[in-house]
Formats: sequence, structure tokens, C-alpha cells
Amino acid sequence: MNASNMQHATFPNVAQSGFGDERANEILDLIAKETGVERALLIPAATLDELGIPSLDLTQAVFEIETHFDVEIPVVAERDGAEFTTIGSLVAHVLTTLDRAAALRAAAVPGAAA
Amino acid sequence: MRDGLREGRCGIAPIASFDPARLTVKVAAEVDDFVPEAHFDRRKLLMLDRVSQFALLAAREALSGIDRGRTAPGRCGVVMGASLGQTTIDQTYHALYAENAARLPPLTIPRTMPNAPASHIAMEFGFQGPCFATASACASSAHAIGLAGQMVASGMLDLVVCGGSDASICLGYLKAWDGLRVLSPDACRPFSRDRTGLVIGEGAGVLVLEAWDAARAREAPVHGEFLGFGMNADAGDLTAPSSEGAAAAMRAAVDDAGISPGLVDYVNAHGTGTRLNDSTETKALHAVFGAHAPALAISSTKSLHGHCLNAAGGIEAVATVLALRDGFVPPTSGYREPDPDCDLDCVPNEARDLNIGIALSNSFAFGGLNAVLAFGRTP
Repeated sequence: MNASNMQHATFPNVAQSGFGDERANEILDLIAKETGVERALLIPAATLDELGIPSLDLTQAVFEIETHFDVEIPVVAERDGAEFTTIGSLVAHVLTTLDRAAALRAAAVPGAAA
Repeated sequence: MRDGLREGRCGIAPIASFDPARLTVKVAAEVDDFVPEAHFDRRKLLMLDRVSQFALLAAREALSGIDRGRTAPGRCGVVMGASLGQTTIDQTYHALYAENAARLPPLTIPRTMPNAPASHIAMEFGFQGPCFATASACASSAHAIGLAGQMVASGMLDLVVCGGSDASICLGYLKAWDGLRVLSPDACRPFSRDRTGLVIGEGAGVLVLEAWDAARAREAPVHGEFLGFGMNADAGDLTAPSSEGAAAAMRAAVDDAGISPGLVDYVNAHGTGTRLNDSTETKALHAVFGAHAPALAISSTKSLHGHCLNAAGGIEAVATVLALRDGFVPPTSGYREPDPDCDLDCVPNEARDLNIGIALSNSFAFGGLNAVLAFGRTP
């Protein structure tokens, strides 16, 4: 068992963490790694404030997620407070972005869309 | 500039000087219609990055009509915000890495050094007193003006050209800003609830500070009076602003000016248009001015000329002095919706006639560095 497998074994799985998407695991791993926040605490309702994640750490985490999935994550207009207030809103935004990017890629390959 | 401020003319537009396709954000406040050859000969241009060109033009304008007279060259100084030759750096690295250039222009180093704008002003006008550049990111030129004011007030120098210049609108630099996720995709809307971030601008703002008696003796046109300067450090977060630090710097400027906060009529805010800056600055203004805060006119001219980074404090000091001199408050442009976290009078969208006795100009920089200038109307 290598180090990264071990991490997965000790962290909650997708169902326990409240996210219904396997990719959420990868996203949460990256956030935990970049922010130093214990993975078990990264639940959808947790606010970045409560977790004590400074905005620069979050910016770095978003960059790592962009690099990992090779995708541009659009800036969210900061209507009420920060760009992302909760772990849930951040993960949901990344998943939406990934879905959109996958759809664009599929549309770009003839025949693949079906 | 005065007419632009008065009319609330906004310089923010799609980037035209290069193809911004690879940027997430594709707007900026560029200096357009600028033809370097109209102002400098070819040989001189080899030495001048765009940032030094802007600095020299602003210094020429500031010094026009000023007869240095009997002032000794050694009693005249230059203090400018430190500003790299970003477009030269961008072009030379591109030539080296992308085009495998065998050699780079030999003047690349002196063109790009952060003191180049200051040095070129000293050279052109023959000022042999202290000449240097202050580095404090977006507060750089406010620090420059503050120090220059102190040098004149202490009697160290008779005349100082001070302010800042910035010309950083190029792919490499803006791509780096993209990563910070603070740039607005369309407009700069300081203090508006729907604000979406800052917009990068370029330009230069330069003041001439001179001892009061000497300026009066030779009947120089005096646009305003430098009253005081406050500076400090948050010693906290690298990029997030602190209302305590900002408030302490404003208090220090007011104290240095020897006035009570209730005498301030106008504050040219740092007002970047980011969620965090504008609410934090509002909180700091409440802390400093208390019951007087709602009576203040507060505007962010960044909504017009963009965030000019190392030149911001210089350009905004010029805006502040013009407002004092001509009795008007420049507007906060792009304002659409009140924000309970920014509940002060930000002079939305239209300039307002106002007899201003004393005004502050706020600059709060990355690195937690705060600089606040206090100016008064010419008595």
C-alpha cells in the first residue's frame, strides 16, 4: 500500500463526506493537501471561515485543482462574501466546471457526443 | 485629467495593445493614442521602457512653467514609486524562451530597473539631490510622496518631484494577476454590492513639492498643500487587508497634519473594487471618523483609471489635489447597488461640487503596507 492509498483509507469516502461524485474525492484530497486542514473536516456545510482557511491558501488550492484536472475554473462573482463560502459551494463549482469542460471536449470530437 | 475626473470618464476597455486571448480577464485601463516617438528621439527611446516614458511625460507636465530659479541642483530631489519595466521584461523573456533569441537588447537591464523612472527624471531636469524609488507594491508612490513631503518639511530639500508610474499591461504580468482571482471581468465597481474585483490600469501621477515660502516668493502656482503622512504595516496577512492597520495609518496622517478628523471633507479611497478591500476600508473609515463618517465624501477614482499599481498613489494624489483645488469630488463610477458593508457616501457615478478644505488619499498594499496622505486647499 503506497502513501496515497493509505490517505484514502483513513479519510472518509464520498458517501460519508456527503458528496455524490467520485471526483469530489480527488478535489477534497487536493484541498486537504494545500490547506493543511484534516480531510475529515471537509464536509459540504463547513465554511472556509470555520475551517480557518485563508484566502491565499484557497487560491493555491484552486490552482492545484486546475492543474490536476487541466481545466480553467472560472472566478465566481463575489456576491455575498467570499468567492466560495463553504466547501460544498467550492466542490459544486469545480464539478460543474469539469462537466462543462467534458461536454465541450465531447462536442469537439466528431461522433463522441453520442 | 481634471476634465476626465469631473465628467467621470472611464478608461476601462477591452485590452487592445496585445491579444488577450490567453487571459481569463480581457479588460484593462490602457493609455491609448500614445506615440512614444512624439515625445522622445529614437536614441533616447532605446533607454526608456514605457514606464519611464510615462514618468517623464508626467514630470514634464508637473514641472512645466516652474522656474527652478536660484534653487541649487543639489537641493532638488526625485522620489518615485519603484516600478519595473514590465513590458521590456515580457518582450525579452519571450524573445529568449519562445524565439530562442541569441542575444537581447544591451540596454535591457537599465531599462527594466525599478529606479529607472526616478533616474530619468533626475537626468532630464538636472536634479542632483537624493533620488530613489520606494517599493511597497500598490502603496509605492504614496510612500514616495509622503517621504518627499517629509524631506521638504524638514528642510533637507527645497524641491522634490514625486509620485509614480506604471506600465505593466502585458501578457506575462496580467496572466500572473489572473491567478489571484481578484480581477473583474468587466468593470471596477467600488463599494457597489455587485462589485466583482479590480481592473488593472497604467499611467503616471507626479507632484512637485516645494517649501511653502520659496514657492510663494517666486509666485509659483500652488495647487494645494501637503499636510501630513501616515504609514504603517499590518504585520498580518500577505494580501488580505486589515481594518485596524488601515485605520491606524489614517489616524497617523491626520495626527501628522495636526488636524482633528472632523475637518476632513473628502477621502480618495483605496477602493479597489474587491469584496474584501471595500468593506474593510469602510470599517476603517468608521473607526477613524466615528460620527463624522457619514458626512464624508468618499470616492474611488480607480473606477475610472483602473488600479495603476505602483502609480496608484501618485495618480490618486493628483486626483485629490485637483479635487481640492477646483472644488469637486470625482465620482465612484460603475456603482449600481448599495452594500450594507459599504454604507458611506461614495459619490456614485456623478461628480459633485464640494468645497473641500482637507482631503486624504488612501493606499493599502499587498504585504500589509499602508500609506495615507493628507492634503489641504491652498490658503
